[in-house]
Amino acid sequence: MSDKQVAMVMDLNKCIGCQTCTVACKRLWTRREGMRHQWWNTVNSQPGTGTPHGWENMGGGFKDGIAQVGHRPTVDEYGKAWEFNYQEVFYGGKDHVPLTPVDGDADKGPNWDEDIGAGEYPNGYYFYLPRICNHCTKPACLAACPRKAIDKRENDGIVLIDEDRCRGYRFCQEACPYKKIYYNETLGISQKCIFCFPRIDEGVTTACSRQCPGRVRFVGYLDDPEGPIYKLVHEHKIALPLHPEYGTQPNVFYVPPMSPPTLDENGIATDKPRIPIEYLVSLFGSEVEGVLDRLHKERERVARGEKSEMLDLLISRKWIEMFGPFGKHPRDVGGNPVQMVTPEPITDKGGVA
Amino acid sequence: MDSRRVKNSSSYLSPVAGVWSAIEAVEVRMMPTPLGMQPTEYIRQSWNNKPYGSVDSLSVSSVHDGKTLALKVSWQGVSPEGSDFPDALAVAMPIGESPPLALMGMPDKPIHILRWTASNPILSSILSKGIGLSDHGPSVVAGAEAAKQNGKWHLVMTRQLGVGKNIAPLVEGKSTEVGFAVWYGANEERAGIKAFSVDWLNLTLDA
Amino acid sequence: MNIDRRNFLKMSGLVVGGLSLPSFVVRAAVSAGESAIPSYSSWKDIYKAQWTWDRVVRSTHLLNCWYQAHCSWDVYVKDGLVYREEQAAQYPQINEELPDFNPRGCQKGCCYSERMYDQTRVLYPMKRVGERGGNRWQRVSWDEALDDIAEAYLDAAVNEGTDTTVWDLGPGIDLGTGIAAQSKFSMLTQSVSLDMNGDIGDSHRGCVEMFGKISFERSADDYFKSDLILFWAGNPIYTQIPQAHFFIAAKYNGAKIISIAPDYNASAIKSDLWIPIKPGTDAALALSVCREIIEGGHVDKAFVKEQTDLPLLVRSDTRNFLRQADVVDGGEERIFMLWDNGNDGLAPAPYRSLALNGLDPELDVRAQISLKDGTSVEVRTVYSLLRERLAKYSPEAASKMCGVHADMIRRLVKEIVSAKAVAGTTQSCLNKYYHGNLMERSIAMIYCLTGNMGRSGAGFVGFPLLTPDGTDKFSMTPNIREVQSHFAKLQPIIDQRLADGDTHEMIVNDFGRSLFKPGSAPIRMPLWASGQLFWQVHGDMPSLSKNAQTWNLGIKRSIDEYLDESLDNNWQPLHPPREREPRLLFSMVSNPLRRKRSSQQLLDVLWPKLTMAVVLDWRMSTTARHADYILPCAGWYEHANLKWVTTLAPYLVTSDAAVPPLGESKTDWAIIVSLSKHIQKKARERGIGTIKSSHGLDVNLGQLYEDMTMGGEFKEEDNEKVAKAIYELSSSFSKQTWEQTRERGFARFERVSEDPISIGNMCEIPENDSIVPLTYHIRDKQPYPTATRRIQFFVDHALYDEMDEALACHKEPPKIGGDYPIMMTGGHTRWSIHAAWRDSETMLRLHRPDPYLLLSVEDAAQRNIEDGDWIKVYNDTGSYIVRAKVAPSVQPGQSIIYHAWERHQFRGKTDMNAVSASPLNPVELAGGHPHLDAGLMFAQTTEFDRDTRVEVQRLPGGQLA
Repeated sequence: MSDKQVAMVMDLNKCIGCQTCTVACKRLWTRREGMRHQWWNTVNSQPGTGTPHGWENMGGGFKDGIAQVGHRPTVDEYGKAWEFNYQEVFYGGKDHVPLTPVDGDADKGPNWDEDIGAGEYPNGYYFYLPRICNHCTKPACLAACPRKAIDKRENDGIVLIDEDRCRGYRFCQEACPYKKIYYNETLGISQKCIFCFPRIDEGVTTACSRQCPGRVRFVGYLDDPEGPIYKLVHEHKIALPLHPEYGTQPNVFYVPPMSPPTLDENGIATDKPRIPIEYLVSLFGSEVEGVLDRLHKERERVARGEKSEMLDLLISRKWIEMFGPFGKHPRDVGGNPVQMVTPEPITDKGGVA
Repeated sequence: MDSRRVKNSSSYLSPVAGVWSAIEAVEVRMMPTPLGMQPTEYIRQSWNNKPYGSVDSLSVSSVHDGKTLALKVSWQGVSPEGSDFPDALAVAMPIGESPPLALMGMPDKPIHILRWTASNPILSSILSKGIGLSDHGPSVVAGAEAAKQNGKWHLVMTRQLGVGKNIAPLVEGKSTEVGFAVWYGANEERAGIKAFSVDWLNLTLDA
Repeated sequence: MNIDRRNFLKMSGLVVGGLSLPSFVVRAAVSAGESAIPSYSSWKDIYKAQWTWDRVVRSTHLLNCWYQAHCSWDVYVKDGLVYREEQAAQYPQINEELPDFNPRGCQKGCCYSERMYDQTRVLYPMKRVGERGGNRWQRVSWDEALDDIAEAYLDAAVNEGTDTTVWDLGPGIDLGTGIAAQSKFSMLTQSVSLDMNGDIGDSHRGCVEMFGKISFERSADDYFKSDLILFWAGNPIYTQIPQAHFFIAAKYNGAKIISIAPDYNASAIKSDLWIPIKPGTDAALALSVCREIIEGGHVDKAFVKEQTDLPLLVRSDTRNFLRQADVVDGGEERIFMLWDNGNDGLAPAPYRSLALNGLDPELDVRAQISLKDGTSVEVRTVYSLLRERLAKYSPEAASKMCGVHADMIRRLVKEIVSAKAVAGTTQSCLNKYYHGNLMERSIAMIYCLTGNMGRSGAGFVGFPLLTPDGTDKFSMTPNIREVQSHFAKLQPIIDQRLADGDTHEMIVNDFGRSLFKPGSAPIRMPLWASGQLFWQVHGDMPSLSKNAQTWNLGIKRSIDEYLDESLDNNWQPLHPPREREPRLLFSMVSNPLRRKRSSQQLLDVLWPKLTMAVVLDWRMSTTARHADYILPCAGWYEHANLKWVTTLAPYLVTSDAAVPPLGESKTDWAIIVSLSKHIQKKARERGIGTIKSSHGLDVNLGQLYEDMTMGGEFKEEDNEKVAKAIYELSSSFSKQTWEQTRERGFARFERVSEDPISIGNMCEIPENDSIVPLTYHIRDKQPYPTATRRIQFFVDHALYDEMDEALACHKEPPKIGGDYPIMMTGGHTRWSIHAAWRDSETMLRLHRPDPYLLLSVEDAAQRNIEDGDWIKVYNDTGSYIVRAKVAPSVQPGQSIIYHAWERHQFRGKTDMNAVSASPLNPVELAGGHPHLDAGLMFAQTTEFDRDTRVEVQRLPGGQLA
């Protein structure tokens, strides 16, 4: 049990699918050996198969408190990390060699169905869903690991895989219902989002939140009444967990997406939003309809000239306030130099006497 | 089982070396680890009604030359290429007093394990104090060579004789105990999902 | 080197176990011998170590993000390598009411640290081996390359004319040190600089016709003050990533967003109402809205009477404006006439100021008047003509043209007229339709009719641009200390024109025009030409449109006839002229063989004319692959520079050297100055001194380097000194020194510079508020730089008259490429800024690695095409192979291929440009008119592709052969 729980709220109305969060995380963390195919942060067009493809049908999590069997996604299901034949194209001395993935024609990548969505023209619909590890209060991964190699930090609830203890058994990969754990074949360990703990420990918010140009993400403590997370989740109650039925009590919450109305057979707008409410309910639970209703009403109030604390919070005129206690600038705190030591000599004798 | 004293263990490094045919082999009975002893609910749930650890016996023989002990193990169960988990064999020995083998060691009765996997020619040295509590083991000079024939693995594991901190003692003229575990990778066996040799087998190093 | 972390000790003794160390420690131990290694007590140390650095430098990305330019980044350096970048995010809040600009940035800038080192990077000068495009290269020294190029340059300049050397200035121009060098070179040598704005399809012709300029846009935070935002054409969610949050914030602040687009694009999903429209028919919709506004009594009469030509009288006999000279002895040609209600008679329209000063023009006039020679002619106000024109755009009639139901048209009207402040977003989509000018004008008319202009949160916008004006001064002055006195030579003209009643804007615009007319200004200027016309004429592009008469272009004569007329009359600037051929092409910050529609034609026709094709770039590109020399440019984290931006984010952003230029790359400044050094050396060797330019100006090749460096003061290695000089010469930054700006990474513009391409904004840049463009016209009544000094609904040029485009109308989108059922539209990709990241591994991994054409579900099904299938796209112009992507957001009859795929990304030998003939639109060939006259970055011909008609066919089995 953690004393405090760090949490994130993502406003899906703001997300523009640019994947800056995805790239920010990749450039900072998942660039070591064995991590090429890892995307700790993903953004997918929903409805869609997501990343890994079809993850919502891969089991895991809890049902009535009982651990559910889950599928361990393959690298292909996550989306392969294609490499390309640049040298051959540019310097191979042939007239026209096209740029192609080195391993042959691409299987589906992690954002393959970008902007496709569902529905029928002119009533197609889609929105963008960014996802990270939810640093759940009841993590299925932590419960599944036979070596207790996964730990939930007491001071802030960040869930971390101990890469020294991990033996790459990957029960965690199967157990996580959100399928946010990757396997590093080179190092033989499982890896996932670390909620940028080196940054958080210095008071700097996560890279995915800070680098998001859309200003999608709020970061703070779930139970801090002064902070934006508490207000959005507990006070205004417009930020909802994704797939709460997975039973892990995720600590990433979403403000659900509004959408323009459907058009009837003459092309005239109806009064129904085109993202079917049933679909949103299947993602966020039954409260989502009430949330959209309240967003609509608050917008109308503001259009009439009234003030709305809820919408002001979503606007966040001062960007840095979106990150609560994690508003320090990286340049002001980070970069502490690595401690250097003299190595111990390596002997080639075993320890045997 | 006796570990016969030979002149030079180096002739016995290869599992297909002819000299092994003169060494008596012992059949070690194996069975799946009990599902109820798997440390987490997830593992118990996901392997419920899913068979594992179906290797029912290993063929084991051993020689030593006073410096190095060679242990040859053969068993049925070669996985196809590209399996997510490798075939593996672990050889455990008590460091001091031996705990029940199924417990994988106890805090005051740790065991020393040498583990071979098909995906890595270098052995792991593991110190285990209980289920789910294994950690990096002591440095020892050890090696392995494996061969496959008709779906069977033949493995020779070697280890320097001697005693040391956290090292299972192997002393000429003395006895110790040895236990085995086998994982069949194609069945996604890993961690506690394996076949094991139920109880310790006595191993005496001929003087 | 793959080292298994737990088993790194592959040594002879085969020691196993022991403490595991991470691989970087192993490498350190192996390579460092006895020296110190990073301490490691747990796996957490690895992650902590990843978030460390040696240095941080403020920098940015110096390319054409256009509406997204630019963003201030912190660049982190470790062990001498750029490790990663993160937005600086230190823009101060403008005022309490407005959301601040932070953090800006996008996914592309976020991985430039990877891009700059990837396999597309060019590190050394390279000379082609074998045929052009043979993909075989030889590394050469700078000296060898520049000597060879210098010789070729001299041969061409001396023997064939100084204008046979042409600079292809692509969208990556910086208006910083790079362009300072090129501009000075062009000024000194009178080599040709190509104006690429029409070339890349961003002409905003409709703006030119109506406003006499294209550059005006608000700041992104001003959208927060709108109550209705129209995403009409364009896709700001893709193309305005750093400021998209303002649109959503506006929704939370009482605004509604309406999206009008054929497909349910990424911007439509953020709207409150999406109106699908048949592609290319936006004029019909807009004109119907205009009609409803007028007939419904919603015209802002005060606005149109003062700011537009609607009250001006047009002669029905000549179909041209009535002039004071027509009706009054001693009257002036330049004064236009209106009907004053006060005097119930003709009155001259205000000239020096738009203020009516008691005049009360009648809007709807149709009357007979007498000319000064006694003839009776009918005159009508533009308003009267407009009403007549709009009569055929009732919602019912327009609905048949554009596919929007009449009730939805009425609903759109209602939303517009009941909103307090209606704002449109900028786009470069419409001008890529053949009749884009009509579409853009029609839309702009809506805002003008309702007075939604020049107010906070309201307004039609054109083309955003905000430039530091120091570059012009730096490049055109002979000596850095003589800038004042040098430019003072322009003062007499300025004073005279001001006295005559012209505005600064008009004067500056005309200085811009004089770039195209060598010798026409009192100071020497670089020589500019229409880029689009250059490619079209010297690449013989019109031959691709020889069947254009079947395409329903709606023109009266053949394109060749119009082109000849324009060139014979010098209406559009073409250098070198038709009769001579270009010989040297320097392609800088550009990639024409990638972007030009039907680029193969350029390879077939233009390339053989070139004795030398030189590409200056930091990466291998389609154009680089066909060059004779590739000269490697320093990357954006490798040198100090400054760059133009836009009013959308009015901050000058600077780059800085986080690391030195990679390999042997050099800054653009250094390359061009070095080139001049080699030319001077070779000229002296060959006894060449001063020669005459093709227009009779002296070109002193024996002194070129001395002149380029301004007497040795700004040498090759002085790039940073140049950046500082440009900054200090710029009129917009008095609050921060160059050093302060460089360290901070950005400086807010304090004023719009008096530069031909940004003066059009005609407004202040408040320190504590958002920017509202055109306020000098609308609040301060300064005339517009048009023939009538007003926003023109009526275009008074013979070509427009011929094409019945004097007033806007809807014309059916032509069937360019033949009568095929699917229209191949496009847009700017989210995944790259032009081609700069198009073949980046990380970007490709995050969508699809092959070019794809989006098809509607219906069209795909009819053709048995499934998502991912390989298909052939073809028409009478050409064909290419591509993958299909099938989506319910696409309108049946429409297909979409996003831009900038490099040729080498297509499986076949042809690329997406192969099907686009891009015929010229004759109205754009106009000239010899007060404002329809080639200006800097506007009023030239443009590139069209959105009307391209194609058929698509599944390859057998959906597979490649």
